[in-house]
This record gives sequence, C-alpha cells and structure tokens, in this order.
Amino acid sequence: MTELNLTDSATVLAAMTEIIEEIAGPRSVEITREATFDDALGVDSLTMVEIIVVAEERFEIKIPDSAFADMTTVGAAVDYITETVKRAKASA
Amino acid sequence: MTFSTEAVVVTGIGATTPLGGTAESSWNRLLAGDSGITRITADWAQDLPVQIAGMATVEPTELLDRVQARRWDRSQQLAVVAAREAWTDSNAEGSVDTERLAVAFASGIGGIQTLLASYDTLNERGPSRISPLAVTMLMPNGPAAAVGLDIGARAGVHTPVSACASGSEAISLGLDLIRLGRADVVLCGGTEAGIHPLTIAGFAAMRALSTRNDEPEAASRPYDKGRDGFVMGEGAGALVLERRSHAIARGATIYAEVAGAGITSDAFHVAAPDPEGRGASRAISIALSEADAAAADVVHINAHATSTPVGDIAESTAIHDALGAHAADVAVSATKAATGHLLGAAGAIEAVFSVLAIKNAIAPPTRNLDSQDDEINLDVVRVQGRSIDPKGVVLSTSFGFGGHNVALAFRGDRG
Repeated sequence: MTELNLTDSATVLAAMTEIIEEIAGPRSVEITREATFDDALGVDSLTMVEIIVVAEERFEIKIPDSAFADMTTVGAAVDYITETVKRAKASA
Repeated sequence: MTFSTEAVVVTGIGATTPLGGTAESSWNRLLAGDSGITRITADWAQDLPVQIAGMATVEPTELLDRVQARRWDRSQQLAVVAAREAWTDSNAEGSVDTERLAVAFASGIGGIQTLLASYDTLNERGPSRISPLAVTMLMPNGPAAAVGLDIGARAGVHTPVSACASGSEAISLGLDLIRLGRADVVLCGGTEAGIHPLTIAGFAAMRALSTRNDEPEAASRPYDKGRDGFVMGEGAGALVLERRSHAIARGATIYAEVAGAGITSDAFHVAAPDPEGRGASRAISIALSEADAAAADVVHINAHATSTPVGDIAESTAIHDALGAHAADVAVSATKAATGHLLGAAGAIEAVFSVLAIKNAIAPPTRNLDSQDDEINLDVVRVQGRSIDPKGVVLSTSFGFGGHNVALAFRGDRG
C-alpha cells in the first residue's frame, strides 16, 4: 500500500469518507465537507466516538475530547486532522 | 390481579447450534445421530488441556448486517439469529401489540469475549482504544436487549442468569409473564458464546470437561461408562410463547403447550449436585403438578445429562424419585451427546428439541452410548429415534452451578 499524503485535505476527506462508511455503514447521502455528522449523516454520538477512535488509529494522532466537541461537520474533522498531522510531521 | 389459567403455547421456534444454523437443520442432524463436536484448531487452544468444542455451524455474522454485527458481541449475534428465526416462524410480526410483547432471553456468561478482548486492548493500547460499545456488548442483558430492540418489544426485556439452567429459566419466566397478564407474547430463549481459553481453563480446572481431545465426536457421552466430563458448545435457541386464545385469534400454528415449570434450589453446594437429586426431583414434581399431570403421563425426557460422572447419576436418581416406578418406562434422550453443553443456551435448545419431539412424535437418539453406566437405570433412546405419544408430557430438565434446578413440562396441543 502506498503511503497517503495526510497533509492534503482532499486525501484526508477520502480517508474519512471510508472510515465513516466502514463504521456507520453506507450513507444515503454524499459525504461532503459541509455534511453534519448528526443531521445530514445520521451518525449518533456513540458511532461518532467509534469513528474518532478509528481515525486516531489510522492517522496516528490523538483527538482530545475538547477538539471532538467542535467536529460537527466532516470538514471540521478533516481540517483538524490535516492540521494535527502537519504539526506532528513538522515537529518530528 | 388476574392470573390466567389458560394454556400457554409455543408458536415459533429458532435455533443456531453446533449441529445446524436453524431449528430444523439441527433437529435433522440430531435424528441422524450426527455430532457437532470438533477439534479446536486455533493456535490459542494448543496449550490447553481441553481442545474440543461444539462451534456454531453457521457464522452469525454471515446472516447479519455488517455494521449491526460489529456492534454486537457474539452472544448477541447468535441470540438475534435464533430469535429472528422463531419470530418469523411465529408469523407474529404486525399482529401483536408491541406494548404487550416481552423478551426473556438468558445467558450463562454474557459477553465474555468482548470483555476479555477489551481488557487486552486496554492493556496493550490504552483506554482511548476501548470501543464505546464495549459496555453494551459485554453486559449480561446485552442479548435480551438486542433481541428486544430487534423485534420492538416494549413490555419488558428480561435476562435470567442461573448458569446452565438459564435458558430453561427464561422459558419459565416467559410462562409466568403470560400467566400474570404482563405480556400477551413473549420471545424467550438463551444464548452462549463462551468458547475462549479462559472459560475452557476455568471449567477444566474444575475437572468438569472431557479431555477426549483425540476423539471429539465421541467425547460427549452422557450415561456411558466411559464419560469423563462435558464438552462446551455455543449457540442459541428461541421460542415464541403466547396464550392459546391469542394464538388462535391471529391464526398462528401451534407446536405444543408449555404446560408447567418447576424451579428449585439445592442449598447444598455451589458446584456439586446433591447426590440424591432432591432439588432436581422437586423441580420435576412441581412442573408436573403445574401441568396437572401425573408421573404416568410422562412419555419422554430431554435430560440435562451433561456427561459428567456425578451429574448424570444424580439426575437419574432425581428422575426415579420424581416418577417412581414409571421412570424406567420413559424414553430418555441426552441431546448434549450431539450438541455439547451450550451452558446458558442449553435449556432453550433442548426446549426447542422437546417441542420438535412432540411435533414429530419422536424422541431423538443419544449418540456415544456404547455401554450404559450400571448406576443409571433409565430407558435411554440410543442409535435410532423412538416413537412417542405426542399427547403425553415431555419434560426438559436443566441444572446449573449455584444449585439451580429447572424442569419444564410440554405436551401436544389439546385443542
């Protein structure tokens, strides 16, 4: 498997889409940056925690509860992950 | 308070067992004298003193939605598979008020695989890696809750836990709920998915398990002189119960009547059976009394008979004590010879077999009985099934660590 460029937000969006569909099952609507997890995608709070646990593992980052609360849209999650991965690479 | 004395009947059955993925396929292989016991080939078993078990023949995940299955412990997956079969079989969907629909689904151990796997995750990868669903997957009422959600039951969801008597106690509870007017329909049963190195090591430490690793299919041999313990199995069984008039009103097919239940406790020892089988005998007598039946009415017993040296003798003593001279004339079957011991699911599976014995008017065979123990003076059905009178009473007995004794009495619908 080729390594993904996780500092690129389009790549992170694709990876997040995959995680969401893996955990919550195929969605009836398209997973876009603007989509809200609860209303648009129908992801309940426990499922959201599952998605975050898998995302932490896949992106090799920590997502603290404080950040988690602001991730109401897919875009917000993608931006947080992209920035965190960038910072981790910069300090590595 | 109203207490209904009307007959309670079985209108749906389901099972997923080491013999088959449905009640019918399990029953057919039981009649054919097949065994569901195999060698455990996984690496984790190679250092264990016991390396045999009865694994479910059909992987529950193959029948369930992928996302849903991931949110259920294996004990919940098996429970839902058996419950759906029974529910579909009863044809009750849409014709039952869900506020009058209850669930009584037992388990002996609950979500132990989730519990232990989560603990490994905690130790190896830290608390942030624990699934937010770990608790709902490992709690003992998890299977009952999953079944209740699946069929939309709103009159209460219950989980009797009484070790290897749990499945029978769930059916007894289902009968009570209907008699007490707390529900019109109860989906009851039992599930177990406890095949894991820890449980095997624990039961092996008690010297409760057969160590006949080289002959898996011959290892579970109730009543045989060569028996040396039980073989663990996994699976689930389910039955739909309702008042007879309720079943008739909605045009349901009736398998049999649940005529009575008897529950007692030994107050003797936490694991060893009372050698005189007094508690077990009283459970049988109470079940018969509730069924308004006499010992002479009993035509068949699906015995608990796990294949342990002392347990099988104690139960035989109890049967003689409860039925008197008639005990020697009853067709006794020990179906754990084929399925292994499904612990908290055993009573439910055996209730399904008892109901099918009535429906088909046949007592199933007991495999591996080559040389019957001299201390067991019972007429055991051996290689071939034997015809029984379906209007007679069929008993199913279950006993569990903790001194739990449950006897259930079934009989053909009397119309």
